[in-house]
Amino acid sequence: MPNSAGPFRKGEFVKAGFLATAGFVLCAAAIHGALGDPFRLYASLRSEQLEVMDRLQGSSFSSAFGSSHVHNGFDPATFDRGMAGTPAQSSTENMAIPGGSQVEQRATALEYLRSLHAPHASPNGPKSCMVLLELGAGANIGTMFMVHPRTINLYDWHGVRLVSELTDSQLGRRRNMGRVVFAAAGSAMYYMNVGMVSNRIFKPDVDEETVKSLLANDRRGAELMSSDPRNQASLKRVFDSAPKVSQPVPTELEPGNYALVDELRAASPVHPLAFVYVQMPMMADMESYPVYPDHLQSAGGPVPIINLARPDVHPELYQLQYWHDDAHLNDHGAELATAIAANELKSWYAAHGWPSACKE
Amino acid sequence: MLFVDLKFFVFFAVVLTIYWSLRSNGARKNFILLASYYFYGSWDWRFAGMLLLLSAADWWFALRLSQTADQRARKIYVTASLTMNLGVLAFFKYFHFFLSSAQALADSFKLHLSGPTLRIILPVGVSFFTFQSLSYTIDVYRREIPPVESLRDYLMFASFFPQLVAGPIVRPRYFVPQMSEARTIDRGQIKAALYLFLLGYIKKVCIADNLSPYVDRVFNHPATYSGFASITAVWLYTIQIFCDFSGYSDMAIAVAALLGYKLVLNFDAPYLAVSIQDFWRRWHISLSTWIRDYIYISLGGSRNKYRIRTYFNLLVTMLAGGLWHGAAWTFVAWGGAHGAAQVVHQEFKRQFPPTPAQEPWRKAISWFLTLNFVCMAWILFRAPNFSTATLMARRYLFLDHGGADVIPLWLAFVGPVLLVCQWMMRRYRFEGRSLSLSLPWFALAYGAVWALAIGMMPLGYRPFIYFQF
Repeated sequence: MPNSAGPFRKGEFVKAGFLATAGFVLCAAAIHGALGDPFRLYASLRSEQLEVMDRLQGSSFSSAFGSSHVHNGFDPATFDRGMAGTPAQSSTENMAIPGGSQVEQRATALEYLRSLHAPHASPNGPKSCMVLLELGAGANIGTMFMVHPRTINLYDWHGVRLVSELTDSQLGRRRNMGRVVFAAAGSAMYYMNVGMVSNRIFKPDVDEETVKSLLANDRRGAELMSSDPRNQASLKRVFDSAPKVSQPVPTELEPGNYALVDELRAASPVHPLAFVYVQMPMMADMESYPVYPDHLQSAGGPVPIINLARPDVHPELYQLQYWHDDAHLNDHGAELATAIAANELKSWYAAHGWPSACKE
Repeated sequence: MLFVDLKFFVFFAVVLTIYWSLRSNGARKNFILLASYYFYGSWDWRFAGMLLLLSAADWWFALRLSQTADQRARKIYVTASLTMNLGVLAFFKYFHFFLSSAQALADSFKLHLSGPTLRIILPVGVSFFTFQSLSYTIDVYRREIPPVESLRDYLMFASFFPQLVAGPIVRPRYFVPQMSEARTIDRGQIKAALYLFLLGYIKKVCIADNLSPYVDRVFNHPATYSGFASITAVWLYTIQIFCDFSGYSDMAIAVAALLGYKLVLNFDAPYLAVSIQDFWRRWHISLSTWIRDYIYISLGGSRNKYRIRTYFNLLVTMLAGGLWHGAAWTFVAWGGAHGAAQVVHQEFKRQFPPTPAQEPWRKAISWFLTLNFVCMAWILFRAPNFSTATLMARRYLFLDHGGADVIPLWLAFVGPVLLVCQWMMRRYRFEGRSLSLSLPWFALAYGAVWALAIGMMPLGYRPFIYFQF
């Protein structure tokens, strides 16, 4: 390259590059070790939800995880009312995060399990401990969160592995590869500690207003939204243009769905931990909807799959008055969908056996 | 494309690789010209066209005025260049400012002026490249430099991407001679450039960008914050603006150096200045020397019969310098305050010249007063309006105790600690010692510091403050 006094020789150049990389890796590893688990570093939306989790600790024994579809469409209080009086009675919270993904629900659920205790035995109190996972959440966080603490503080190599196990044959090879590349890029930033030292030193405050609103009116982490008049016209168009009969699309479960349940079960401090997979409804279901098996057979037993995205089975959900926008239910829709989910779950347990009370 | 973006790193890696693989100086200059326009066009291609037209016109004006001995024709050419550059600057940067000021003035006389409302996008770096072009035609007019014969060379000088959007403002007499032969770079220069780039990155990303949320918080809602939080925010802004701008300058100088070109030093520890004159010899040196040479000296400088005239020249120069920074009266007031402080300081020194015995303690007091004056003046620079500036200044002078909101107490110590660090780095020649490390140790340490710097990077887009100017 350069060519005057004291020029670089090619070998010297390579050696310097190698040593600089070595210095970088050694220092990054030392910083990573010193930082501890970066999952608790501030990341907007997630940190607020984790704050809600902390405040509900000791009073909640079941939780729903996933993306905004669950965050807006699952009402814990309605679910508990629906399950009341059954052996699966519990006290539930909603830890789903807008924009969330399979990788994030894995990490959030693991964080939840870290501080989970079994409920004290009482005749009318909570009995079971349950984890509700969203089946249809995307593998990765949305690309708008690519260079964001939501992604960077999350993608350890377990996250990358989970994404690689969520290959979706319908997506095609290129998009599946894109998913893994996204996860690998997130993981590279994770191990390079991008922004983590800054996040620890200049720690932003949790948005107290958001936390308060997520806890108000017994919402327990759910964000239940009223209908938005601005969306009504476009929603009506979607309803009017929807075909009379929606097409079923048989959908296979992916290895990652099994792996996630097995990993969470192994990490749980309470036993038995009941698992439920939920598929939330969207307006697109009126054109075609996924059809899943009745349950997923994990190593620890069958996991029921509650598929709410079935306009043929639950036509009452696909009414204009239950939607906030074309992908999210409003508060009334959430109440109805959660009640349906509780009823379906009760029927499933009645047919396959109820979970026993959880113990530490 | 900011120097701290991943996109820039990729762009520059490609540029460096191709540039040093080219053999002839002409090919290298062609390539840099192309890269510079690509760099500038990444903001907005339309303004790249404007830059090209302005530069070509200035090249032609300078060539024409050097070819004629007719003084009247020479004046016409230089006036045309001045009008064109200042016209562009006035339109893009000051149109709404002048219009709203005229409307406010008319309103005060119960007259109602209505003017056109234009949606004007400010071309990035317009203040820098117009001033750079102006200095070229003025220098040729003054017969201080010969014109650049080659259009390609002039276009490259006017668009050289390392310093195009936020300086340092490069004088043709300094830069153009460097273009005459193929640049070379040795191991020591590469180490120095890499060191400077990392230093600039740390200043901008690890310090300025991490402090800016606290500064914004207080300046956006000053009434709710306590007096101490307000004072801390002013100190933090003092650090932020220095680290932001000098960080950018360091990176610009380093990027140019890696291409074999030298740019002028733009900052020299300005907060260690012992007087306001000294501050302006250390802060944004390329601009302060520009306004000295082209405004202050054009007005007559200090060679006047009456002292009052010199002070007047000083004030006008600093007011213009203030207005250069932004189209708002707060910037004009900031420039005016610095001008007034220089006048007061010059007069004080004249009336009370220090004795040798007084020198050390007067120096210490002068440093303290200068630093606090500069901090207070930054309030005008940062505040969105005069009412915020007045409130913050009252807090700084303990005349107002403020509200209940606070920012972390430890942030109050960041300024003093960084100042001591800077003083120690200079005192113990930190740069020299780092550069004297053997190549393996330098490379190892360099990689390690980058790992720390990346960890200290706050996430989110925070453009350089001086880009808006």
